[in-house]
Amino acid sequence: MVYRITRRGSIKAVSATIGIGTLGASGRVAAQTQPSVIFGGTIPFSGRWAEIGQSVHAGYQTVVKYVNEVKGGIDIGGKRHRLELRLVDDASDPQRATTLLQKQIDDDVRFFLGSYSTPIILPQVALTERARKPMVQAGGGGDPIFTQGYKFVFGMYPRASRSAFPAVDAFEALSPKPKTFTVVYTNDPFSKPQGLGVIERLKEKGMQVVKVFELPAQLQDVSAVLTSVREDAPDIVMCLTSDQNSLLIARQMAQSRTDVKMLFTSLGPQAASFREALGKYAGGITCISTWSPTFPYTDPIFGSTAKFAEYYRANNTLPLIYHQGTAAACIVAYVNALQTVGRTDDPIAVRDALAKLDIESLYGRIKFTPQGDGDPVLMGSAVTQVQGGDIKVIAPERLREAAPQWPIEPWSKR
Amino acid sequence: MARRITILLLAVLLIAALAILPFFLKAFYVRVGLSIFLSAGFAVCWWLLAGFTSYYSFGHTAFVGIGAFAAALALRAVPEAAPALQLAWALGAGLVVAGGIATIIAWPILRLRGHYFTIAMLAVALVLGEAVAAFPVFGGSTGLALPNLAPMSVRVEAFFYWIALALLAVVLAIAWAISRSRLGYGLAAIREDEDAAQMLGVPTTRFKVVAFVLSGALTGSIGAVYALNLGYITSDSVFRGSLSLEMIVNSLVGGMGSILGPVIGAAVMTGVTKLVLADLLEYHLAITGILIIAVVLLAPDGIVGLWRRRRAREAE
Amino acid sequence: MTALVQTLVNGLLYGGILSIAAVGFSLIFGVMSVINLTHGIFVIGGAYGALVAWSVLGIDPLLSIPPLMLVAFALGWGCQRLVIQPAVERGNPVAALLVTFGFTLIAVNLLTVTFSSSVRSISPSYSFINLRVGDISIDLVRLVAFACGLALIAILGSFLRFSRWGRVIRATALSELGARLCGVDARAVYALTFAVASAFAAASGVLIGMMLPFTPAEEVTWTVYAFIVVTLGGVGSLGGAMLGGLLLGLVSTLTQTYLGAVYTNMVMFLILLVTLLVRPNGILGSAFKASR
Repeated sequence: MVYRITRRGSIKAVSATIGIGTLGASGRVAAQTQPSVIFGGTIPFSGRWAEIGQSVHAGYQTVVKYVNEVKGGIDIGGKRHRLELRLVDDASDPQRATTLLQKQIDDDVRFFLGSYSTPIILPQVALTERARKPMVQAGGGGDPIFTQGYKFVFGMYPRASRSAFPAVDAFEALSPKPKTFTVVYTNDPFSKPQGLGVIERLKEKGMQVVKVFELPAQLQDVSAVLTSVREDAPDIVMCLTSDQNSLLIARQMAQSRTDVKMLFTSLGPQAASFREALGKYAGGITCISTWSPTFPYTDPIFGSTAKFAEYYRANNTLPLIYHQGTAAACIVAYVNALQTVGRTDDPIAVRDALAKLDIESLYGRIKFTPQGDGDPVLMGSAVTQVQGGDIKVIAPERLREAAPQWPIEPWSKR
Repeated sequence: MARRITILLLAVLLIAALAILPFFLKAFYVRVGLSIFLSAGFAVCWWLLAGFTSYYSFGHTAFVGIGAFAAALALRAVPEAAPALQLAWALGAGLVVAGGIATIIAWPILRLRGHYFTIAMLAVALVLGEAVAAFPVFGGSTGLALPNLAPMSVRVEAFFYWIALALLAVVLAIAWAISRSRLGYGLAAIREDEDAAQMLGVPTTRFKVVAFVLSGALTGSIGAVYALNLGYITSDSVFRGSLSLEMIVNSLVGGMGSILGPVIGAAVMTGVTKLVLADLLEYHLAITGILIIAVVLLAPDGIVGLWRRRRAREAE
Repeated sequence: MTALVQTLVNGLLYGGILSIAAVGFSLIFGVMSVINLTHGIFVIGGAYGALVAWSVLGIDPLLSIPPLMLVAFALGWGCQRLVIQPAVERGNPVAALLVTFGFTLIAVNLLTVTFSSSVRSISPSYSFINLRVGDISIDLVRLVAFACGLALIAILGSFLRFSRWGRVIRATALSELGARLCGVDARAVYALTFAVASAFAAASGVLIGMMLPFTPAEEVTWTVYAFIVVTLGGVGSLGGAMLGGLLLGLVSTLTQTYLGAVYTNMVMFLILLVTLLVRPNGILGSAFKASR
């Protein structure tokens, strides 16, 4: 009984897939003559990570659309190839994510892109590793992805525990030098190692960490934390928090007039909606920008970061933030590796080419560590500050767009 | 008697047929099978309590989480043991720890009835999930990695497929045995009218506790397999409200009136959401929602109920 | 000392929001004995409604409350009549729960498709004004939201207490059979209850949207909080929802200050569990249908 129902289900599924396939094909008959490179993977289109999933998806789509429609494909081994995405919704559910990824491995998809969040990506990596197929991803920064000897996974960021180092280094370079820090992080697989890494780094540099707050993963109210911050009056408050949590913290700080000389929130000010929501109170807040559309890089596919941003905005309504940039860079890295190898049927050779990759792209330098994560110096984030309603790079030196505003204006003077 | 033997034979044949399937199927279909067995296992465990006694737990993910974390933490103690031993150790840890915690909470929580019990179980799941995340000893917030226990010569998905199938068979056998025992009749009496049952001399508390602990312990052992199969767990991924809801949805869609209901429900819902709707990126949630509403309104006794009704009509 | 007073003030303000966000849930649970999983979606829906009114039409969130309540009232009525009532009539309490779950899936999906799942927030000009009383700092928005919440609860309370329909709702909650014998159309009462509850959920959503950033997925949080508040205070009683919300707000900020913020949720859930075990009817509640 059970078996029969499964069979019927699978037959339906197969016919549904064929149906969708034919439908799509009829729309692009002319292009059918070109072979295509298929990128598989899952995306959290619903559930907890849906918000970021949509951005990541838009980033992938932009490169594919540009390559196919504007450039007429890419050259691999002397032949024009189209790019094709085959992404399904994992609903932020790891069990679903692995099951659906297995289907693509079975269907002989050779190259994988990342979903979002370490709890989803890590079980998937176990599958792709076993199948010896590469995954280039910008969604999982958790240390265990890179510390278990996996060879086929590459990440666009330095692993979580190292990812906020640039901010500490930038603050150390301020003058007068800040002395006291309060560190706030949420209790989840990304923020916590990030926060612990920051504390370690601060101590290494001889700075004083006056208090550490470990908060629940989803915040509703931080008034109690802020009461304590007002008492301690540290020079800098560093929050390793998601966009939503950062917005809540910054808002409540402004509302309660909790003044510090510098407020840092790892994620948040990158998004225009964050800056609009805070208005003049966003001024001076710093964050790490893994990527910003204003970066002055050249790119093998789009020509430059600015041209990527221009093309993206002409085709999308979703605001352009770093998720789109890092996601796009995953495909740029793949294209480069594929061109080096010169064929599309050898995932192991492509993996080796990825490991050796050292190029400049719309995202910046792409060079992975031997463990697969982004090089902490070359691929480390820029530190940005909200100035005049926009974000401006204040560190590192080579990317600097504006001098840091330090200390920031008290809330009541705005 | 003859009928019982026929059923037993059919069951053995069916399990044997399912067990050889991985040799013919692509890995994806084996994984769908694995997903079905895990969901069906969870649903039957939930049904062990709810179906017999109509104590609807809204927080059975608590036992999934306990089993998963017990297995992960237990495996840290024996990193060098042979994989087969480790597997038994992890399953045992899931079973015993979940069963133990179920025993501790059984008496106080089973005093509650109706919606109160339902909500109290939700609270248990929430408290445990938060505790596992908040206290660093459990490592629930940053997550725990589990070793891969599948032998090199065996495909990993087939390996877990067989384990999940075996566990499902065990759980079904236990449920079937209970339904034919004094315990089963006692539990059914509790379902129909708990106060009357007590007055007639059914040891209601003891029976309820036994059903609750069995349900929790078995859920814990399947939770251990769930964790081993994923290879990495966080408090969020195993103490997940949607896991509790899935058990309820699967049982109701299949039909609460029969032991096969939860299994059929799990097979149908997994098939629909992972096979038919998997390729729809944007609207699969809404379609799933419509399906659930349709089943509740059109087939209130689930798929099994629908089938029984049709048979009854044909018999007339 | 200042820290303690500040913590208490924050807790009460936050608790007021938790109270108003739970009254709808309490009403449905008390009158219909249905665990209404759509509650959170009406709350979040209210926030999105206010967002549209504010960003597209330029209407102040507070002014958008009455029209949004009307819309939610209509939606709630329709939803109850078309989907939930047929499930309630199946006689299985979990059937109704499942149907509300299915409805929630559809609504979340539609909200996500319409608004995307990006974090949204509503910041009218007065969002950042801060009041100081001695050393105590109070956010104006939270104070306004608190006051509006109290006003709304008072309105609902007098509706239930003094109006004809309010009396009918209370009578049905006490005994459906009794009410029907007196000529009450129970189905109409249920639809009305659900509609009123949805309207107040949406109104609380507007207030929440003014204070906290939100996404469609947030609905789960508000359903769960409603569970805790209602169980703690007592089901089906407005005073209970008030008390439960305020207590929970206090517990939340006190835990944050004196125990560590990471334990906040755990303590809140623990309180839910302990209340159930020690006093299942809640602090102010009396036994209601579902428990018998």
